[in-house]
Amino acid sequence: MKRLLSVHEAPILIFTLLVIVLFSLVTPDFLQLDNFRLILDQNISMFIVAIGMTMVILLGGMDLSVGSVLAVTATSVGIFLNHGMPPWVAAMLGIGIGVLCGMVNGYFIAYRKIPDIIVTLATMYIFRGIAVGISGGTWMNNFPPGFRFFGQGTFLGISFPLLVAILLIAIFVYLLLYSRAGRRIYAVGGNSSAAKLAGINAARTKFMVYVFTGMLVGIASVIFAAKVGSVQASTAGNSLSFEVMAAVLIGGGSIFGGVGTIAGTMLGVLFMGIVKNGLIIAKVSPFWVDAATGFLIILAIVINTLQRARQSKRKDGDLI
Amino acid sequence: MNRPVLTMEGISKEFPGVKALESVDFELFPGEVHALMGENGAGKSTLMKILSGVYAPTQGTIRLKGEEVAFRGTLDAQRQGVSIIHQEFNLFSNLSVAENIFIDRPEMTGPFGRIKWSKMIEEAQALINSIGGSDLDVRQEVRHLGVHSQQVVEIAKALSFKADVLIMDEPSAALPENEVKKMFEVIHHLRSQGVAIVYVSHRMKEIFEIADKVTVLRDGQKIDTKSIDEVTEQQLIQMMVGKEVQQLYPIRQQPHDEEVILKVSNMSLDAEHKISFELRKGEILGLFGIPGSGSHTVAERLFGLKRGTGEIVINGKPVQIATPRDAKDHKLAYVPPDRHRQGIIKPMSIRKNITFTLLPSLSKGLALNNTAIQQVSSEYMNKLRIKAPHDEQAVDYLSGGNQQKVVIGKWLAAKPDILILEEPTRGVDVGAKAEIYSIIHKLAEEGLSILLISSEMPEVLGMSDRILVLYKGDIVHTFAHGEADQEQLLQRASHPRMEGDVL
Repeated sequence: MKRLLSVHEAPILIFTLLVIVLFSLVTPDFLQLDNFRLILDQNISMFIVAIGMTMVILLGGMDLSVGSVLAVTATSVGIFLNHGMPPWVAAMLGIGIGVLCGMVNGYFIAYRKIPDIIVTLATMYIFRGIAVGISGGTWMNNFPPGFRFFGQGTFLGISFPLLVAILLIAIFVYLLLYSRAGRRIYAVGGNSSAAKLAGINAARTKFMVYVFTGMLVGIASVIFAAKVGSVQASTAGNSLSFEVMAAVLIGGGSIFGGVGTIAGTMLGVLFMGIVKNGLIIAKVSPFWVDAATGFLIILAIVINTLQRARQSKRKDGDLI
Repeated sequence: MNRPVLTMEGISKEFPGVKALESVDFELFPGEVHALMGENGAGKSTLMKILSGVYAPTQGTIRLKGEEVAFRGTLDAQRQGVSIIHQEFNLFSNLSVAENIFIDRPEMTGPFGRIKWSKMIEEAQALINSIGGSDLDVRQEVRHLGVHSQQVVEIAKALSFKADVLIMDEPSAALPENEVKKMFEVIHHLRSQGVAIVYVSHRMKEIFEIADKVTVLRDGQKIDTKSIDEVTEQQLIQMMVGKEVQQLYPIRQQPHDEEVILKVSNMSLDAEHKISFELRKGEILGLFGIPGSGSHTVAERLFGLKRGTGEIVINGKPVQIATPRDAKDHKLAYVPPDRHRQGIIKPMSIRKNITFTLLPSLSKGLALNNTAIQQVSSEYMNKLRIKAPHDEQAVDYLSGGNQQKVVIGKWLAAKPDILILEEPTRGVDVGAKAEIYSIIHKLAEEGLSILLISSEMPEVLGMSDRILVLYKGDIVHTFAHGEADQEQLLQRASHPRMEGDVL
């Protein structure tokens, strides 16, 4: 039990289970397989974007622009499709645009050494502005049936987007836990000067993380567009950046970098999804959903902090 | 002895406008501990940075095991067998011990960049065991380790590159007294394995205990290399300073008043320990203790940074000090030990640093009175002889000694009755030290009461009218000025109170 509690993700796991129990007691409609499928389905894009955000936050950074990247890629994909481009090509080009956005962020942050919050604050406006500009302010819809597969199709009986998400999670868990490139992210985020002395190219590591994030947002935006079936450039992914950052922090990520796991983040996304879904099913007034969500976020993060404080007390050599 | 593992010949290093090193020769043999000494600015750290690949020398050659080398960065130097352990550790607190040792190594990576975790853990544990740290589990995260264990990790990391030469920069600075012994055991062990160790330190006692040879630098030049048996402490100091050691500590001209200005009774340091003492007007009261003694806590309690129980009487009136503002209101001032983090505001000017604690009294209505601010600032700049072109200079660009004077000036400007100085000369060079001592002395003669908390024994012994010795939260002894030498002081500071001790 003690060992279980010292696992990094333990607090959020327990807290999520508690919230599930709570909602199940409030309404019988909550604890249904279909409802959980719905929660997963609704949050697929968030799961994917959160993988990238985990890496960004591991570096001690943040990315305010992911929502806008989602808008600009989804809008572009819509335009490509409306010009009769085959769905696969449009999707690939869309992901390419995501990568490009990531490269823009990464270039200024890693190589021009401009603080991430400033760069992504600016690109948040820029990418959103481009999305609105190229869309001419109109909705993108009437996507061809072939495209819908990316958001609604099934493969071997499992939803295609879910498969994509699982694959990406597996790849990036491997990357972060078992590969040299992934450990560099932890090293740079944990102590960048020590990383430099160990011969790690911190700038390149940072750049790659933003590029990966752009790619992941690109994939998420294709799924998003295909699932929803219509895209409005000015609102798509509006609150995505903040929700995803919240999920990473709930999942035990440290805003100072170096600490966090994809498993934790995925639990964080799930937690956010469950809370939103549960509050609606429990018929909490929609006007209060945001406030209640915020309250639960802070509670989850306080629990994380408590665990960390308890652990650091074990440190020896304390002066009286 | 056999052939040298490392030879540096005619090493010079110039920075724009400064000649940091001038034609320095340095030889290092396998299995020796070679102390490198010199005052701040003598060129020690430049030489070590050249040796560890941080800088390239302007002139001169480095030979490693007979072959001429030119390092391209620290990693390159490490790969060729020269590792450095910096005074400030460079560890990843968020990662395991094993990973700290073997981060980003190709030999720990398999196909697809896969980390060979089991190999890494195995080799790291073997390495840690080989330097006598077998009680350390390499799977632990470094943030859970104490200072000594962290140093063991640093040493293991350095050795993981198969180091022939290991440079240790002030390795004991971060360690409590009892852990220095453990570190020496590690060093002995390395020496017996044939590793050559460069030991950079200011601490005489350690050098005589651990070093085989000593090289002294002064003003960028090598003065001499001696076997440790050939020299005495006094000779080493003379080699470093270059002249007969001057009188560093001023002598008190007239005795201080007997009037008690601060009386502390049963002030708690933690749940179990309480101390009582008195400070007289114009007295310099030294407070000495080794790390863990709680001397820092005394300052924190007096200045309202930490709460507790007990009675504090200032000028005959009992006072409550719960916050630094209370302390300031009761005419206390505190010069903290870490000026970078707690003392100065680096990007701000000298003027603003000196005056920002007094702004309420330097304002007219809602506006600041700039003339008054300027006056106060230049007054203390002159009084403390702060060397800068003008007081609009950002404090960041001053030398350590001048920065420290700014911190002292800031508190003097608040016109305190009691000044708490903690490590007032940490990281300042000898010249500035002497100046700071004469300032402290002058202030005391003018009637300011001073509590001097310091871990530098010569400083406490030289400056204090009376010395309180603190051991694990208890005052275990009181010395009068001139009553004790370093050995007696350290002896008292490392033992609990003895029977019949005078307090």
